[in-house]
Amino acid sequence: MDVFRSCLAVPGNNPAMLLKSSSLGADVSMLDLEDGVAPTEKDAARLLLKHTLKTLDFSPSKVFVRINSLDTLGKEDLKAIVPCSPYAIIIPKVETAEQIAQVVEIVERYEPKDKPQIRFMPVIETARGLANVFSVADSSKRIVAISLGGEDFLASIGSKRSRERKELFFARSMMVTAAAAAGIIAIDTPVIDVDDQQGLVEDATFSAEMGFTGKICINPRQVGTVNRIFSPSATEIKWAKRIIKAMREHEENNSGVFSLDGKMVDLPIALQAEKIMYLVRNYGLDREGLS
Amino acid sequence: MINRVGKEVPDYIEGWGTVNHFAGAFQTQPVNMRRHAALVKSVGPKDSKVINNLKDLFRTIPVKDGMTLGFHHGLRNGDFVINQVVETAAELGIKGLKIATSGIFPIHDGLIRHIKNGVITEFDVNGMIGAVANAVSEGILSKPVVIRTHGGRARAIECGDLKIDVAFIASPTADTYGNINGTEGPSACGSLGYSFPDSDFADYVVAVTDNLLDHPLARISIRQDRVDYVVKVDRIGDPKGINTGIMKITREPLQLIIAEQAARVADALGLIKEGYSFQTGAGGVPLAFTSFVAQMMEQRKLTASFAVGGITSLIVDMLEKGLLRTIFDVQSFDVKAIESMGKNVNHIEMGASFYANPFTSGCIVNRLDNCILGALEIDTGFNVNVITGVDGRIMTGIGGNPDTAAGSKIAMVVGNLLRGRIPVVVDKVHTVCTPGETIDILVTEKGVAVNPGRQDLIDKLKEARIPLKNIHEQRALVEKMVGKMQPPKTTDRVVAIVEYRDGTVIDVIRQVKV
Repeated sequence: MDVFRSCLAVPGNNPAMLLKSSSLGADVSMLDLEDGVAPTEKDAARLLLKHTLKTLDFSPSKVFVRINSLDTLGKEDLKAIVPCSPYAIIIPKVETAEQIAQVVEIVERYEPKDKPQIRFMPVIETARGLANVFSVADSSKRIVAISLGGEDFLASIGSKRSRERKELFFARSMMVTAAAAAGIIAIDTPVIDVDDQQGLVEDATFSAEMGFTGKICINPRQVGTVNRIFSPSATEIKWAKRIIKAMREHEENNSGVFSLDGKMVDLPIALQAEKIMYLVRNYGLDREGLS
Repeated sequence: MINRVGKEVPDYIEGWGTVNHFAGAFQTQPVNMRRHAALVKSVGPKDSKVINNLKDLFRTIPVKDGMTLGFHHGLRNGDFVINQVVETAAELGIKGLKIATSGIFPIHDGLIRHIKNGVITEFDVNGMIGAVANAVSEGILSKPVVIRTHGGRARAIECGDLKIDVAFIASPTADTYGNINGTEGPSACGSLGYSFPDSDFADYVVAVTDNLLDHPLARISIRQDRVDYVVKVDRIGDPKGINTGIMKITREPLQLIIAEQAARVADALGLIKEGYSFQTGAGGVPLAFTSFVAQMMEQRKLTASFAVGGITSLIVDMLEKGLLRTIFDVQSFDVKAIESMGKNVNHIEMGASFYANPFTSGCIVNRLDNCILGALEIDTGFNVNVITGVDGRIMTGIGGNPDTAAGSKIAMVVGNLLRGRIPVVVDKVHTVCTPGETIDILVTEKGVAVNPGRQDLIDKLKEARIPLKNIHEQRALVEKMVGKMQPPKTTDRVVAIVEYRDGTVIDVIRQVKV
């Protein structure tokens, strides 16, 4: 399963930001052709991204490209970008599984056969999209994550944004549940006020507790906080290591369910510990000396 | 010949003479060398030192054709004194002057007129920015400009290599008997450290001030027994160009990432400890580095021993919070640093020789644990260029970069891999200012490169799981991003000599083709 915490939006028409983006600590560089680019700059951004993807090495970030919706310039974007084999395509304003099938068809036409298959991350931004989120999440093997576009979603249901974001509670619950049902991850909507670090901490903590794996960042200053909050803590890592060590010892002795520190260790606990260590390996936390 | 840092330097340079080639950071030592002596004078009880204007002063000394006039750059881009003095020389028909200053700034752009009319024929500097630098790069002068390090200038003055006939000291405050300080007055700039060698070794020393007070000053930086004349002028400088308010930490994410990584490196190497000594500077990454180090020291209840060099409000904050015992200040970069030097007894003004002169009984950079340096270019041999741009033109100054690199236990170059779209890590730097043998570590946004000569540091950083990316990998990475820059087109004519701190020639700058 693909996992990532921070997904940093980088305007596709900004060469300086494109150069820097892979060094800003984000797990995903989300190169944007959609809302982050002015209508008069769309063609320039598409051309720039096409050449950038052929030239720049974005590692250790994974490259996701957010195209325009298919009913606007999305098809043109796919024609230009898919041959460059980004790690994933972000499909905005998805409302139905049929839209995903349309994208699959175009991607298959232009995708290089000798490169890894391009993944998808659909974005749910409307009431209709949320109503169909289970079928969308399950509509293609290429889908590795689903994401919530909170601002557009609130507009579509006629709600207003509060600092506590209680108005998004149902949508967020639907997203994490649909993602879990499809065996993929859910990425949360960004915090718009980039100067509100405390708000970011509170919102990201809440979304991590709900089950989101990561969050869209609209400013590089948000990346460090998001990475920290969506990473297992040192205490969790220590706990997971102890559980796994104890499990292995008990497996050798065929002793089945056992207890550690007076608490029973059963399959869900073991899976939780393994998930933590999976995240540790994926996020390089062992390299950073936290494990 | 090809010298020790791989640069082709002629054995003889017109306007300079026979070249003593750079032989290694500590290879050239003083042998039977003595300090130069200034002219001895006597001022009697009834004599006055105050002279009404610069013209009268010129006639009194007298200032003649071919003399060397010394200045300091404490007023930075707000300095009026060099312009006023050269204008006076021009009005009196004086020709062939050498301007020996620690810095030329854009405010001095008007000097080009006086180069063209023959008033100025030579420069001896630590750095040049602006139109004069550009004109020098294009070959306006017949004799090459000498670019010395801060410590090297002090050494050259003390040893008599740079003989200053008259030192004009821009003095934010002076009294009628020649005592000077830099912390008071409308043009306060803080430390006057770069003018200390001039005041000790020039034949004549003149305080040029716009804040003349009765004798004696309460706070004395340069003493009356070293100052021959005091001249009151309307203004010596423009405060807007002198200081920069209170320096703030950058919000640029990449710079913060680099600074944080550099602080982690310093910590992994065991530098962040009780008694840590450091020089950081005033750029975006160095300021942020200082902030991260201050946080670490505060959390661990540690106190640094001393900080040196150009001083900022962040360093003063450390002193005032008890995180730092002593500041040695050769240049005060902002208002808070200027104020602090006037009030904190352990914020000590130091001269350029105390700071970095290699031919003394011990300069303070020798006691540094760590320095944080910038670079316009760094090559795969860790040689650093801080003077010339990608077009081969002189852009800025050498400053104390080679001095602190040589002195400190760990010299770290920090910064982005790219300046705009110009690569910073290259095969060969255009101008070698600081030899690679004195640079230990490079920290960029892509990783940490350690000089292969420092296996001990590589081992420690690996053990601390700091992500290492060697300098060849970083060069390859940046080349892949923006391609390889074409070397600048130059003629064979030498327009500037880059002197290492020990007086040897480490590189030359050739005339750019226009």
